[in-house]
Order: sequence, then C-alpha cells, then structure tokens
Amino acid sequence: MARVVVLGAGISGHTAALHLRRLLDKQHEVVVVSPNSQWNWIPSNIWVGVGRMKPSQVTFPLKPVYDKHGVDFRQAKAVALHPEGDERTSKGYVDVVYTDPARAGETQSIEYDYVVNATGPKLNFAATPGLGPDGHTVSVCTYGHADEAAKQLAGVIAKLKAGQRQTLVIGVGHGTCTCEGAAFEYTFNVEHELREAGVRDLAEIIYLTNEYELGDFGVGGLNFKQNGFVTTSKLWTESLFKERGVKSILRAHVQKVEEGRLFYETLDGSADTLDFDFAMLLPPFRGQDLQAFAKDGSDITATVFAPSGFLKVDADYTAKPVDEWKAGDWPSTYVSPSYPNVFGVGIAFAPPHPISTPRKAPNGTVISPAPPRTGMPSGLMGRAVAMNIADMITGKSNTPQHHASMAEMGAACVASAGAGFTKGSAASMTMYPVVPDYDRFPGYGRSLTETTGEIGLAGHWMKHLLHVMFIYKAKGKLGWSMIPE
Amino acid sequence: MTTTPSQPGPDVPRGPAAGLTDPSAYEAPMPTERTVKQRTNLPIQAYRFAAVSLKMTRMILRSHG
Ligand SMILES: Cc1cc2nc3c(=O)[nH]c(=O)nc-3n(C[C@H](O)[C@H](O)[C@H](O)COP(=O)(O)OP(=O)(O)OC[C@H]3O[C@@H](n4cnc5c(N)ncnc54)[C@H](O)[C@@H]3O)c2cc1C
Repeated sequence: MARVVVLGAGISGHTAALHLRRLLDKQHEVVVVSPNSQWNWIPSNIWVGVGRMKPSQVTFPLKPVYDKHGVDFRQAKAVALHPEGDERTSKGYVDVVYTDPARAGETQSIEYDYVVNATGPKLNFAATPGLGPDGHTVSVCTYGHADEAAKQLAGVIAKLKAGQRQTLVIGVGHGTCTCEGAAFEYTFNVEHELREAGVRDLAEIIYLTNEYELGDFGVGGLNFKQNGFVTTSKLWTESLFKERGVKSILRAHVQKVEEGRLFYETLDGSADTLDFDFAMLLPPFRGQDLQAFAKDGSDITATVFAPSGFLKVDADYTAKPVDEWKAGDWPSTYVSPSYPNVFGVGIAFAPPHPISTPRKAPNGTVISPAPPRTGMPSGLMGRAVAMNIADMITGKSNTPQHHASMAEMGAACVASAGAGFTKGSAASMTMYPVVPDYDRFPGYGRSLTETTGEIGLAGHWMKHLLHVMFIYKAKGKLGWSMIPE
Repeated sequence: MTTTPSQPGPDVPRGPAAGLTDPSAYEAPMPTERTVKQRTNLPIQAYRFAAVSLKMTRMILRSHG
C-alpha cells in the first residue's frame, strides 16, 4: 500500500488528487491537505469582484467530493516537509496544522510515499506597505477579497450616481507581480459595469502595470496573424484601451499605498504619486512558508525551495542572459532534483526564469512581470504528475514518463472584458507554446497559426461555458475525466 | 533602493501623473463602428463561438499530448 499526499486543493492539486484516485486502486491512499474547506474557480472571482456573481457561485465544499471519491481530506495547512524522515522513521512526512474549526491549531505529521506540493501562491501583500485588504486597496485573488471589492465598487458607483468624480486604479501592486491578465480582466469588467450603470463619464479608469507594453501579460506579448499581417498583442490591447477610454501607467512599481494615494516609480527612474478613490491592485506572489528539514533535523529549506519560496523541480536554474534562455530550461516532470518522491505543480513550482524580458530601474528596482502559470498549464501539470506517481506505484515505470513542459504546451485564455449574455465581451486567446521556443519557431518563438486572438461576445460565452464546465469537472461528476484540463 | 516620490504640495496645480498615457495617445487604431457592432452581433458571434471553440479544442488536444 502506498500513500500519496497532495498539499493544496486548487486547480493543480485538486486535478492531481482526482486523477490519482482514478488511477490507483483503493488499497492506496490519496490524502489532500488544504486549509480552505471550499474549492474556488478563481477565474470567475473577477465576476464576483464586480457583483455579477456571489461567492457561492464560484465555490463548493471539498469534503463531499472527496468523500464520494475516496480521498482523505484534511482541512489543514502544511508547514514543513521532512523528505528524509527523522530518527524515528525513514519515510518522508509532512507537518500540518489543522484549520478545520473542529480541530483548529492541532498539529499532525503525515507520512507519505509521494508528496505533491500544489500550494499555489502566497499573496505577498506585505511586499508593498499599505497594499491589500488589510491596507488601502482591494483584491480579487480570493472569493472573499472579490466580494469585498464588489462592495467597495458599489460604493464608488453610488458616488458617481451622486455626481462625484471618481478615480479607479486597477492593476498590479508591485514591480514583480504576475497575473496581469486578471488585472486586465478586472479593468474592463469594471469599465463595463460603469457604462451599464450610466456613470462612465464621471469616472477616470487607470490601468497601472509593471508590463513594458500593454499586451505583454507576463508572456512577453504575443504575435498572431490577422488580415494578412502579423500583428502584436500590444496593438490589439492598446486598441481596446483606446476604444474603452482607459488610461494606463506602464513599467511601474508601487512603493507604498496610503489612504487614497499610492506612491510609485517607473522604469525610467521617475517617481510620482497617484490619488485614487478605488484601487484593485494584485499582490506579488511567492511560495507558501513551507520549511524543509533533513533526517538530522537540520534546515534544508534553501536546498528544497528557491529563495522565492517555490519548490525547485527539474528546471535548469543556471542564471543566464535572456538571449541564452531555452525552452529546455523549463521543467517537464516537476520532480524535485533532491528527492524523487517530491513534486511541485502549478504556481508552487519554481520557474527557471521569467518569460517577459527582465528589466530594472536605474536604482535597481526590478520592474517586469514574473511568469504566469495559468489554469490550463496548472491542470496539465497536476495530471502529468498524478500519472507518473500512479505509474511508479503500480510498477509501470521507475521514473516519470509523462511530461507537461510549459514550453511544449499551449494555453487557451479567455480574458473577460465585461459580463452579460448579449452585451458582454472577452478577449479569447490561444498561444502555443506558452514559453516561446525560438529553435522550433524562429522569429516569433510561437506558432503563428496556433497563436490567435479575438474580441467579442463569443468570448464571454466561452468564459461562461468554461466556468460551468470546470466547476462540473472539479465536482468529480459523471464523466469528469473526459473534460480536458 | 527606492527614489523619493516628487509630491506637489496641496495648492500646487499638478500635471498628469508620471507615465500616464491618455487613450488618445495610444498608437493602435480605433476599431470602426462596424467592427464594434460585429462584436456583439448575435449571428456573427454564434459563428465566432464555433470558430473559437474549434481553435481552443485543437490547442487543448495538442497540449494533452
Ligand atoms: C483573479 C484571478 C483570475 C484568474 N483568471 C484566470 C483565467 O481566466 N484563466 C486561467 O487560466 N488562469 C487564471 N488565473 C490563474 C489561476 O487561478 C491559477 O493558474 C491557478 O489557480 C493555479 O493553480 P494552483 O493549483 O497552482 O494554485 P491555487 O489554485 O491557488 O491553489 C492553491 C491551493 O493550495 C492551498 N494552500 C495554500 N497554502 C497551503 C498550505 N500551506 N498547505 C496546504 N495547502 C495550501 C490553497 O488553499 C489552495 O487550495 C487567475 C488568477 C487570479 C488570481
């Protein structure tokens, strides 16, 4: 009998757990450790953040799903890994602290044969003083944050209706943020809601970002064919900003936020303040605060995890200049180089380097996006790791044979630009591969036929369909495994 | 590491914030009224939905190996 422990029940961890349960017979145990009792379809938090959906429409309780599938769910958070065991046991184990109200604060050590770190991002609001729901800005990263954002937005709309001008700043709250696509979506959803409320003319909307150009999205921008030309996501995105009257501040790092005012610097060395009535700024991400210990109890956190807190995997972490970056730098099996039974998937794995060109202001402040790891790649990694672990447990292979490199997979992204069955819109994009490969695709790094983009109501329908489909899949209902990641 | 922000006093009229780009300054072309209308035209969008679904399915199948 083998036990697989999955840390985190987000997109990657939940996918891994369900596939593991599907692939392994019942003599083997699948344990999921996650601090939140709910599963959250995070992409739809954008609609919660503008009041179009309630938190209950983007979440469901995990326990009944896990009970049905025979997964042992522990509502707890992992705090430390002991990949070599200790003087008592030679088996690896993980220390957890329960968050389940019935056992809150209780600690436990869970032994494993295989462990998957799928703990996602730590929302590092602390990197920017005054940032976040405990400071002076809102967020849409969790359904709770998004619900609060919707309440504040409703207040802004009420003021606009009363004839008061309002400045709304939406974007990223630090020079090293990722997830610009989510900030872009929220910007245009808010803009759409203000138009629907008939108050758009009194509102100034400013998109504040660390991207070098609009349309970078942390993937260095996209190129695609349109009307006989190769066009760029910059042109395409700018056109939307122009049409919808959204201002922008590019190449910016937010230094601190005070009540109604943010302080920022830009890549060219200038610095300024910006007053706002409403600000939704995403935090930078880092890995969760997991520690690692060797058999003798010595701290090996720096061996197992990168300085960013993300788990080191089978990537090439050698520091190299941008023009030497290769597709092969990116991991494909997500196995720890130190421990063959430890894996890191989704946002929790340490990327070898960014995808967008890294840049620094004259004073050394890094102002460029970190690489995004969106839903589809996260799900694919979870599935590949589950298949590899199942193969190793059942003796089909001794080493991971299934690969899910971001340099060999594409991504389908639908960025909402406003909700509504007849008036909504979204930018539907596909890119292949996610990480450019200039050896396979000289010139642009990606396939010009597989990389596409268009804006329209069809995208909104698609986004809604994905919402329904992925929640159905995550609930593990009939035929769930037929729905792709 | 960080520079001191230049902060005008309360009475000093200030120009636009550093790096602020007005929509009129974007180089990108403005979509024509027809293009904007087509983006919410139901028959056209129903057709585009089918086309986008196909593209995404192809991408998904390719990525699922
Ligand atoms: C607002 C927003 C909108 C987005 N929109 C899109 C989109 O439209 N399309 C798209 O593809 N992607 C989108 N993304 C990105 C997408 O949400 C992520 O790619 C995806 O959630 C990553 O999956 P994950 O499993 O790595 O992390 P998560 O889904 O964040 O899951 C992490 C899990 O780990 C748990 N956890 C945390 N700490 C611990 C611990 N110590 N021990 C155990 N468990 C722990 C968490 O509770 C959670 O269950 C969006 C992201 C945001 C923030």
